[in-house]
Amino acid sequence: MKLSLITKIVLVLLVAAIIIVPPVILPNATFTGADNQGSNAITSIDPNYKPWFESLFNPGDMEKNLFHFQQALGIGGLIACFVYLNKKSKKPSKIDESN
Amino acid sequence: MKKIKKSVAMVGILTFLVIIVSQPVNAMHIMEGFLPIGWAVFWWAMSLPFVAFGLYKVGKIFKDKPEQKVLLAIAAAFTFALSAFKLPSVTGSSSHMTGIGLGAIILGPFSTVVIGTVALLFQALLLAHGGITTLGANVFSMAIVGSFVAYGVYKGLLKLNCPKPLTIFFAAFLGDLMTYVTTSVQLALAFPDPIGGFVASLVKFMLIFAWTQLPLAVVEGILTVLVVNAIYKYNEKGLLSNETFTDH
Repeated sequence: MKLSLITKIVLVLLVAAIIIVPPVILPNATFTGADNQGSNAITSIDPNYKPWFESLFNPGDMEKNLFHFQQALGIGGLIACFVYLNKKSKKPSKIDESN
Repeated sequence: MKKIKKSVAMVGILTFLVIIVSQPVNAMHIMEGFLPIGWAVFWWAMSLPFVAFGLYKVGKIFKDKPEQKVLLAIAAAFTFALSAFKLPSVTGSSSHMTGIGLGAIILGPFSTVVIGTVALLFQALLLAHGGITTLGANVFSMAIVGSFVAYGVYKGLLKLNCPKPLTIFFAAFLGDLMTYVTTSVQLALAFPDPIGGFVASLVKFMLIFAWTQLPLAVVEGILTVLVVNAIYKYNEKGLLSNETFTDH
């Protein structure tokens, strides 16, 4: 499998479009988390339901930073992996560099 | 060298776009304490055997196929990155991707269960997203259903001689979508509507979760195709040994 550069660019633009369109066509939407709405739906089905367990650790204001930390871990990890693969592919006897 | 620069640029553009629109808000999947204790225990019991066998499989990668460790790292990083981005959807609410399909395709479903579990545990403990009591249910929907659906679709479409990029797209797309369908089923089972019963509740939760997820699942499908395509290059040089890449 090998995608052409054009295909890759089209795919990236498509991703960008899907992400950008909702805030543009729905300028007034709040985009609350679907899981929050899920919890609200539970309460509307069973008004007496009380969550019986609280999170052990509440990050509070730290939440946003921790989220960025997770994003950084993931993206940094991905970049590190590909750098590693690149280095490794250069080392051994070069069989075919033309692909 | 030019190729590397190009791919780095592409990753950069994508990351930039995603960071602009993403807004880390509130919980993921089923929130802490939001499953009655009976169901919480039930889903824990359903998930544990998969996690146990998954750990055994991951151990085997470290022992027998050390060259696959980098695939494990890629799959884990992908899941970590994707599950940390809340993206807006056309329904006016937001949700996030799972990144599970990639692992299922390049490593197989059992090792991927472990990756998903680690990501969920991280978010439950550190971010108060999801929860410990609901971890079993969330592992079942994301790490188990997500990866087995993706793996099944991948193998099935390959047998039908579907073009590889399309096969990968549908595997990741359906794996992501079925995760949220499963979440809806889990919630509907635990909270049947007093009048309409299970079905009425299911429709309600599906409208919230699955519908919002649809465009995000498309994004996940495309991103998975791009990453597998990037890995593929190195397999041609014989760096990776994995049945996914060697057959077909």
